[in-house]
Amino acid sequence: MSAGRILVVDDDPQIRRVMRTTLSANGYEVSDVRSGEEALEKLHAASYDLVLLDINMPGMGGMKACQALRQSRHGSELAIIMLTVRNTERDKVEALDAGADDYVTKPFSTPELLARIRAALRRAPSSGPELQRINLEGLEIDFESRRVRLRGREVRLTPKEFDLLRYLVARPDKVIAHRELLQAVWGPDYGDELEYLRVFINQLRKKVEPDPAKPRYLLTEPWVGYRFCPPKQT
Amino acid sequence: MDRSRTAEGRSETLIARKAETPDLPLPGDNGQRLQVNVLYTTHSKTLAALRITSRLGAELGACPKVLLLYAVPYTLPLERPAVPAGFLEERIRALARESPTEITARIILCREPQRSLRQTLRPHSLIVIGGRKGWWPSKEQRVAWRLSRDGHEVIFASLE
Repeated sequence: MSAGRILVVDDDPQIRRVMRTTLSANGYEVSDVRSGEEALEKLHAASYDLVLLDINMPGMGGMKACQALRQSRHGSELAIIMLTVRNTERDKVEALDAGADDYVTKPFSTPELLARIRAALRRAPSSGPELQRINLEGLEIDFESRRVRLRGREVRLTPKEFDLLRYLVARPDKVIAHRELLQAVWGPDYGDELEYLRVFINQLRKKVEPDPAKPRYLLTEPWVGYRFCPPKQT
Repeated sequence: MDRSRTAEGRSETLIARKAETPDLPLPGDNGQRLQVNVLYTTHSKTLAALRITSRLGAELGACPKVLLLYAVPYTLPLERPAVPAGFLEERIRALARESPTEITARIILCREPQRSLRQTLRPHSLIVIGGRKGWWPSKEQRVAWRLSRDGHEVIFASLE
């Protein structure tokens, strides 16, 4: 298992290569892209724990990219470290206000960068227990292969249903507000489509609950949201 | 196109936008795909409902069915409504041409649309209805509330 998934965003191929080598050697899963636009696309297709973002880049630039990353799906759970040669107080304040968690000036030493990555990952909300597989009294969910089996029978979930289930299961016994769920699964433009969310939850219940009319795992918190209730250990 | 008369005194016509593709069963779904019923209200409002439905289709694998209920006065035979059946079919075809997703439509000639709708829908059906939201509940909003009260899942597609 990797220590974390990191996306390196830098237009300099040499820096990307060095980062890839250094971070991979330290147990991280590393991907790299050349611009902020590519980073947003990459983040849409896959999930990362941390982004190392250069400020001076052609195209949208590091500051705008940072703001866009924060507004993207799961953007609030992402750790972002800005890398730059600029070291004035104003630049640092600007970067942190744009949404960065930390700011590293070039040239930097590898131990310092690794320490800052570790610190940022410790603080990141998504860096909790990584879900791989859970078994709930006959319901098996394999998060890596995105497969669900109910009493040995495979249940087909659509990608959105699976994302919704993953989000709830990752936060057991915590009430997730409608808006939070909508924004986490569908993106920041959503938030008021409660009927839409209700349809998805009902579909999920039909697929994963032993008795959808009396849900045991996916519970409704009236007027607030939904809660995943794991079975009690006896 | 398929016309039939039901026991409840309704005349029904089924229209598919193209040669109707069979609903492919998804593994683990017991061969059943989620069906979304779209209530025909007006052309623009139904299109708003179909836009939501197309998203549901993409994200839930749902297949949309448009239901057009037309009330025939008791003074006329059920098969001879005040407007020719072809006119109602043309409404659906016009809708299908602009629809963002493939649709199947069912035209129901009936005496009492609300009663027929209740008889047509399965329990706990998913229904999308388009309409305007305002400070005073619109006709479509009232229909949506009634259907929710009957235990159906209703999505109201607000026409902005």
